[in-house]
Amino acid sequence: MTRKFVTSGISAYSGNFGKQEAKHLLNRALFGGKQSEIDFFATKTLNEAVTALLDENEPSCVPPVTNSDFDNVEETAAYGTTWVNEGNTGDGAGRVDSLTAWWAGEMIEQNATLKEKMGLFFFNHIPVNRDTYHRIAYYEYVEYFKENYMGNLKDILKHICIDWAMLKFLNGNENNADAPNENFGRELLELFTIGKGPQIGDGDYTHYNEDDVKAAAKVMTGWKIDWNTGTSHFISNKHDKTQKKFSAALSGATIDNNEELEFTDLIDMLFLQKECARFFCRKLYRFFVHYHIDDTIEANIIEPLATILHDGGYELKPVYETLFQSEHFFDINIQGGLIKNPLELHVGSIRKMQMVIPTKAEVDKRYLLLKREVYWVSTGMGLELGNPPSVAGWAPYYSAPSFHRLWINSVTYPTRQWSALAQVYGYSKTVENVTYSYGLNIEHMKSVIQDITSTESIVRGLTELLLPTTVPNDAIGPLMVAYDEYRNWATDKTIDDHITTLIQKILIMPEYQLS
Amino acid sequence: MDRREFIGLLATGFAGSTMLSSQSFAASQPASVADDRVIVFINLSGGCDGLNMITPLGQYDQLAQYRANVIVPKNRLLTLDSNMGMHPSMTQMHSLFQAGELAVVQGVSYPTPNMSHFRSKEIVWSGSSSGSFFETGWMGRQLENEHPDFPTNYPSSTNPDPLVLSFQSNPTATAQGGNGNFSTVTSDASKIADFQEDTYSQYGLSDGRYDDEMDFLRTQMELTVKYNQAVTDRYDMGPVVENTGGMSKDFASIVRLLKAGSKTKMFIIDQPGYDTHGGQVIEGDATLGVHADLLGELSDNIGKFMDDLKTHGLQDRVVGLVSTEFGRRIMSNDSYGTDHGYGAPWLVFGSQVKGGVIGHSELIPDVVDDATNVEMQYDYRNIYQTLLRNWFEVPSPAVSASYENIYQEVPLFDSSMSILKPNSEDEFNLKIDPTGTILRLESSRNQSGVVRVLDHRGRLRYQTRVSLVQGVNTVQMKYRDLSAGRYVFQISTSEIQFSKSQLIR
Repeated sequence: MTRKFVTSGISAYSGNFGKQEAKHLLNRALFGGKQSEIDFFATKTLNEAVTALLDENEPSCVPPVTNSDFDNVEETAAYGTTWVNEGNTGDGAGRVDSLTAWWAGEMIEQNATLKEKMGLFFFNHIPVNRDTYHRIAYYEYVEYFKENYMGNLKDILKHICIDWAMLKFLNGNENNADAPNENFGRELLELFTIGKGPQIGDGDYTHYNEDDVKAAAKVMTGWKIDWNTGTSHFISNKHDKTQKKFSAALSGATIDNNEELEFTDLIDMLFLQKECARFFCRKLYRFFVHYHIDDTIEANIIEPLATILHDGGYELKPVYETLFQSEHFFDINIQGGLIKNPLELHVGSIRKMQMVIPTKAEVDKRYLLLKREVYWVSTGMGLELGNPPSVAGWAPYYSAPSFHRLWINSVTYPTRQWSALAQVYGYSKTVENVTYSYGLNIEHMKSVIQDITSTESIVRGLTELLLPTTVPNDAIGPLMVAYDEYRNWATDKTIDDHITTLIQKILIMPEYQLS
Repeated sequence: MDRREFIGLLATGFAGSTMLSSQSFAASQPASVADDRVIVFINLSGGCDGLNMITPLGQYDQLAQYRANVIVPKNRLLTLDSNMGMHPSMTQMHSLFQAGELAVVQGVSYPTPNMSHFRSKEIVWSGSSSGSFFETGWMGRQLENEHPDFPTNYPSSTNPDPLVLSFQSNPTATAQGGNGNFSTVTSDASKIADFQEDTYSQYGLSDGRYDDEMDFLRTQMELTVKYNQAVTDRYDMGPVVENTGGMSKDFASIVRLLKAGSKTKMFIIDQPGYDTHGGQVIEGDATLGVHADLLGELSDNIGKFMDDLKTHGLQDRVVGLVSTEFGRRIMSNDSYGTDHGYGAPWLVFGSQVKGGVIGHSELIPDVVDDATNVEMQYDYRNIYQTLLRNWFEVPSPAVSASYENIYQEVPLFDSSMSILKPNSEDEFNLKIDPTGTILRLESSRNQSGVVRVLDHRGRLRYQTRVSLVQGVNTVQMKYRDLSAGRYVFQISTSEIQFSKSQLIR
């Protein structure tokens, strides 16, 4: 497939920053921009808008709580209170449900900052999975990224190296001097830091080789996890005390025994290589802009961003500032061209249509709805929150050549469609005496229409909110005809019904799959 | 259609670069595959420990030194022959072996193995060499030869079913073609997904990112509506096949769809969980654990699948291929597990398969360290190529055209299986001078073709088009640089694939 060369670069976008641009920015940086947010951001300059997205004063996470849906009689945290400080009890299955429901709720009710999107980005970049037996450690792993996404990339890597959940996930706790377990060492190089380049010889992946994997594994020997407290600790006599030698690709670096601090030497050594910055910036680009990276994008976007990241000592904020203010990000060839991941799609629907979900005080209703209507539904579309299919994260973010197109297949596409339609139809469910209702907020939808008596205004108002770009008149026309036909036919129905039916038609359009 | 009719000849369309795309075959005549034959492609995802699946008996004690904590006790192994034993969980596949319906291909890998799951899967599913990148899958390229217009006007009355049906969560890279992926994904073939086609988004598209993705979505919408209906309709026409859910249901669906007349060429099933760095076996009993459970599930399901095929008279139409992205290291680690390695056995089963062990039992070197691997015996591509040629009866130039390796048949089938002649050496008398620059070719008739030179890793180093006349031809090779070493000289014409290995000084 040939793709258009997009030649714009990272220099600051100087064009108009109006509603379309604000919508584009928020659709990518949030789980879909709400009308009120779009209107508000459109009053700002781009620089003010990005400054707001990168708000340093974003409040800390308010952790998940216990609810009655817990199939866990041993839970000691009282109903409605958080369990994240409350020991490890039973099999903790209810806590995992609580965690993922909580996470979904945080996305829906996010502030207009980059926090939730980066939380998911990092969890895809450096994941653990649902088998993280210690649920408090699991929560802390998820929370860490949300609290530190604006910090320093090296610090983030150092944190995860000896984190309980990661030690467990990649067998770091079983990595001993006498027979090292390479699992973490390999993925650290291949997936979390420098990335593999073309294979140019036996076990030689350009940026590192198999001996480097072994050396990295040796550096990481000696770390153990405490099953009860969810903490990790270092046992010196399980640690390899030899000098670790790295290949020419890593500048022939050596790391001497430094016991429990040796992993920091490893991360510092790896990040000397600018390739770590390039690898990260490609991942960031694929997540927020588009999956297609050709030589032009590499030269105009990836390399300059990597220079900012590397030369800035791996501080992340300048990279976000540059990317989201770049002329490339607002290039007309880029807008609307990203296939939404399942959460961008589904949480985006809830946000854009301002569907009402139970408050945090309505603990059971809220957690049940979030579990069944967001976590389960997203899982059916190929993104199980908190549980990626492998250590590489979700395939659409790395698997060439299809990338994001992998979100769409003959199973997931219908699921994406009916889940959106179901939101509009609305319904009530009762599960073990808890009843929740879910449905379209028609008053909100009407509020985005300037003139409720004008068919054109109705069609334009709704498509502007729901679709990523201004759709051509060739589509507006048929939608207007369809609206009028239905209204003239269904004369016994209210205008709310007429509008609801139109919304359904818009949600079926392929455009709705795009951001 | 008579089987001979669809053995259309394919002009060699080697792309010249390692980036294969639809263009490389656009001008080709379609070569069709044997109409009623099917491959079931099973991926043991994560990298299966081949030495615990098929364990060498001759060097058992030596092997046990290096993997004492995971090796299955000798007396518990199921005997294949005097040199090899099979994992005790695999009783059903052992029965298939005894019945001559299972071929065990030893040491399957590729030169310069890559020990990344993701890269190695990419290689094994695309059919590339370790150092090259193909954008299409090995089956996708073959299907593209036969269906160059896909997805335009598909499905159709002659191709009513998905060409590939995948029970994985994603369309498989194996079936990626230049114009799209040939696979339809299904989670439950018995239920049609509720899906509506849009009628409002019909405007013309340009060439930006948005337009590309819109075009993809519109196509996908149309294919999804049609193929989901096709699968469900077919499923409803088939007999009930008992199953216990999960992978068992996938196998049962295949039987049911085939019995109902499905023309799907390939079914794909993924069995994840083989990345056994830790806890591959249970401490104290190496016959139990994750690996044993997975192999048991695999074996039981394949055994039942073969029974079901026989019950419905379908056994002669199906070949199963069990693959994995790589095997694991000879030496185990401290956590009752094994780390990423090179080769592993691949398994081929079916009533038409010539059962037995292909290759020798893996050799355990005298000295083993934490980097030692079993040696490669068979290039995985030769298994694909053998299946394409002998099972799907694709002419050998077409088989070779989209690969960088030399096609060497793996004896998976009785020679009587294929109605095609084996590669003929009579067609060419090839002499190569010691520097490899002058080739002397004796051709039995006028024909055009391609001469390629590949190095010992199977990488293409040089190629040139040739027009051969009847009689003696001299071809001058204009290399930029060709260091001393062993090379393979390969000649392809529309009918003949001939190759010869020679040391160049």
